[in-house]
Amino acid sequence: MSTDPMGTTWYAWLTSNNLKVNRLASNTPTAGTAVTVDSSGDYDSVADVQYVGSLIRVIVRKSADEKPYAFQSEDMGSTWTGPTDIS
Amino acid sequence: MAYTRAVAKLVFDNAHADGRITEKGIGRDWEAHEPRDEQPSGFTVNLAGQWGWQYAGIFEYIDKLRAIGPIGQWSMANMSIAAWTQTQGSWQQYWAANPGLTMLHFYSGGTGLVATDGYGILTSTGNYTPNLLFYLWRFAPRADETDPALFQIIFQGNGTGPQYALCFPAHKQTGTYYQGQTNTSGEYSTAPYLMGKPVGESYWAVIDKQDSSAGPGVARFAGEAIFQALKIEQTAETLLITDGEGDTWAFSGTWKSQAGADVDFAITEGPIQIRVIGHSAMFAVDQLSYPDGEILPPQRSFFVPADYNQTPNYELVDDTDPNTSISVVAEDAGGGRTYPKVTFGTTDNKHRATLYCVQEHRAATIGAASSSPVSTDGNANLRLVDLSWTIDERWRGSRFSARVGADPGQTLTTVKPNQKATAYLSTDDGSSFETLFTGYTLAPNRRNPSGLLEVEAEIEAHDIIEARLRQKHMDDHCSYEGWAENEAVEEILNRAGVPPALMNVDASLTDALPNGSQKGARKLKFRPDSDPVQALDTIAEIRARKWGVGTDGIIFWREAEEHESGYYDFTLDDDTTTQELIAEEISLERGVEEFCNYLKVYVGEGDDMVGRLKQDADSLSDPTARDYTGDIWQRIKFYPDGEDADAITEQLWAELNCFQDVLSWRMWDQAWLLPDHYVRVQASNLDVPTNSIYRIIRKQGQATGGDQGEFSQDLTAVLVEEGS
Repeated sequence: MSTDPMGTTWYAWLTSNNLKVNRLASNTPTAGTAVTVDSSGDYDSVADVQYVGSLIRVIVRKSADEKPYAFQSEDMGSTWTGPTDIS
Repeated sequence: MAYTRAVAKLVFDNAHADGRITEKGIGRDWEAHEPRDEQPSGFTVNLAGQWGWQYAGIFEYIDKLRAIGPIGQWSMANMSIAAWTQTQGSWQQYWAANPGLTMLHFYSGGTGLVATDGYGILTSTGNYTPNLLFYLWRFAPRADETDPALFQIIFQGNGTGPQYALCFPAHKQTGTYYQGQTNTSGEYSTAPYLMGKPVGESYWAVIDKQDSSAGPGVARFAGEAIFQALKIEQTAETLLITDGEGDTWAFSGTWKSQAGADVDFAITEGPIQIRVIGHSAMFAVDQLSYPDGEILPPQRSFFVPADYNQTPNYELVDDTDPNTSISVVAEDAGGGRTYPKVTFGTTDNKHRATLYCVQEHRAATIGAASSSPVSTDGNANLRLVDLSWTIDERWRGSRFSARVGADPGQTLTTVKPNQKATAYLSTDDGSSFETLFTGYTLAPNRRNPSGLLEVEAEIEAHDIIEARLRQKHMDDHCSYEGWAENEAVEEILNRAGVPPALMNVDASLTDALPNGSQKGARKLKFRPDSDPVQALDTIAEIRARKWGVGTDGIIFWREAEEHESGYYDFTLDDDTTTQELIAEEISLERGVEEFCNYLKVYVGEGDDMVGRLKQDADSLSDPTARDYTGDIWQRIKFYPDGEDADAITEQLWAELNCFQDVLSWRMWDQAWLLPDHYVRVQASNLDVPTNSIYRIIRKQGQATGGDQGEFSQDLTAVLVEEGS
C-alpha cells in the first residue's frame, strides 16, 4: 500500500492468478476501478506498492524462483509494464 | 537729441477690481499606495495603521504597482482533454485527490524525450487572457533524464503580436531544449524566466528572470513531487506572477528581440500552449474572473469647512483597456464630509482595471469684482510726478516706481497696498495710450518734501506674479499628472485667486501632462511649501512653454515662440532722420556667461529617463567661428518631470549655444516695443552685420507726468539671427 503525492492510496493484491491494482482517494472510502496488471499466475505474494518519481510500482514475488519482480505504470495505473527482475 | 512729448498717467483701482476669492478651493489625492508598505520588513502591518481603502475581500492592493484592482476569482473545474489539441507526447485526464479535480497529465516523462521530440505539447482550443490560475503537480524527473525539468506556458496571442512564454525550470543546469529555443550555447536558467518572440522570428529572447522563490524550488523538486499554484495576471501592461509563497515577480516595459527589435510588452488574448519537458506533470488551469460593478470606498471621508467649495470633482490616475472602466462619484458622508466612490467595470470579466489615485479638486470661486478707478490724469489729489518701470523677457518681476503728489492745499489720495495699478503712456497728445504696466501696489511711502507745502508719495507696484502669486502656496492641491495641460494651469491659477479675465491660457494645449513610469508614485505633486510660480515653472519647463504676465496684467500661457528667419517687428537704423525712430547711445557687448557648446539633457526619471546631447564642434575647433572658445563648456540639465526631451533640448540649446551679443539703445518714442519683439539692426558704426536681428530681452522706461511730460526707454536685445 502506498500513497502518491496527490493523496491517493494505491494497493495491490493477488486473486485467482491475477495481480490487481486499485486506488482509494485518501479523503473518501471510494475505490476506483481495479486494473489487472498480470494474469499469469506466476506470483504468490505482493511485497510492496511504491510511488517512485512519477511511477507507480508493484513488487511481487515469483513462485518459481522466489525472486522479486516489478511491474510499473507511468500513467497513473492505466497501463503497466513488466515484470522486471529486480533481485 | 530726439524728443517726444508724452502724456503718462496712472490708474489705481480696488484690490478686487477683477474679483477676489469668495469661496476657497481645495484639493487632495486619494492614493492607492499604502504607506505601510514602505515600512521596513519585520514590522507588523499594524504599526502603520489601517489600510486606506475598504477592500472587503473584493479588491486587493497590488504592491508591485502601488495600485488597487479587483481580485481575480477562480473555480477550477475539472479539465477536459477534449478542449485541447494533443500536439506531442502522451497525455491523459487524471483525477487527483488533491486538489480534488481532473487534471491533464503528461506521463511519458522518460529519458531522451527532447532529442526524439517526445516531450509534451498541448494547445488549448479556446482563447485565454493572461489572467490565469494554474494548479500544477510536477513529478520528480527520472535520474537518467537528459534535459532539465521545465514547465512552459506559451501565450500564443492573437497571431499578430509577439508570443510570450513563461518558463518554470528545475533540477539541472544543462540541457538542449533551452538552447534550441533561444539559439544559445552553454546557457541555461534555473530561475523562472520569461521569453518573447515577435511574429516572423525563429528564436525566443529571454526578457526577464525571476531571482526569488516563485519557482518550483530546485532543491526540493529533485527528490519529490511538488504542487504549485501559479497566479498569472497581466495588469496595467505588467505581468504579475506569484505562487503564493515568495515575492510577486513582475515585468513590464520594452524588451529587445533576438533579431534586435524593440518590443513593448503586452500579451494578447489567444490560445495557450503547455509544454512539459524533462519530467512528467499534470495541470489544471482556469481563467480568472473579475467582478463587474464592484465599489471601492476609502476608509475615511474628507471634511471641508463651510467657506470652501463643497462640491468635489475627481480625476483618475488609472489603467483601463477596451474591456474595463473605472468611474468615480462623490458620496456624501454627512457633516460636510464626502468621499470618492470608485466603481470598477469589466465587460468580459477577463480583464481588470487598476486604480492608482483619485485626484480630488474643488475650484475656488472668484467673484465680488468691484471697480472704482482713480486716475492721476487731471487729478489735483493724485498727480503723477514721474514714473519708471521695467519689464524683461521672463515676463515676470515687472515693476514700476512712481512719485505722486497732491496740488498745493489738496489732500493726497491714499493708495493702499495691493491696489490694482496701471500705467499708461501716450505719445500723441493723449489720443491713444499704451499700457505700460499692470500690477499691484506695495505699501506707499508718503513724505513731505522739505520746503514744499505739498505732499508726495512714492509708490511701487509689482506684477501679479510677484505681488500675488508669490503670496500663495501649493498647499491642499492634488497632483496634476494626467491632467490636460491647460486645465492644470487654469486650476493652479484659479486656486491662487486669479480671475478668469486675467488668464489667457492657450486652449489648444490640451495634451495630458505626463504620468510617472510607475503610476503608483505621484508626479507633479507639488510640495505644500512651494508656490504656484514654482509649480507653473515646472509644468512650463517640461512642456517647453512660455508663461508670464503681459503689460495688460493678463497671465498668458502659450507655446514658446521660435524666431522665424527674417522676421522682425522694428528696424533700428542709426542713420534715420525720422524723429520718432531715432535711437541713441547704441552699444554692443558680447557676453559668454551662459554660453555652452556641450549640452546634456536628461528628461524623465527611472526607467523612462532619456538623454539628449548637443555639441557645437566649431566652437571647440574652428578659430574662425563666431563662437569659438577652443574649449568644451559643458552644461548638464535634469528634468525629472519632463516628457519631451527633444523639445526641451532644442529650446535650451537655442538659449545657451550662442554668445550673448547684447545690443542696448535708448529711444524717446515707440513705447510699444516690448520684450520678445524682434529688431532688425542697420548700424554702420557697430560690429554688427547689417540686417542682423535681435530679440528684445529687457525694457526700462521712464516718464514724467503732466501734459508736457517726457518719455524715454532703454532697450536691451540679444542677437538671434546674424545678418549678411
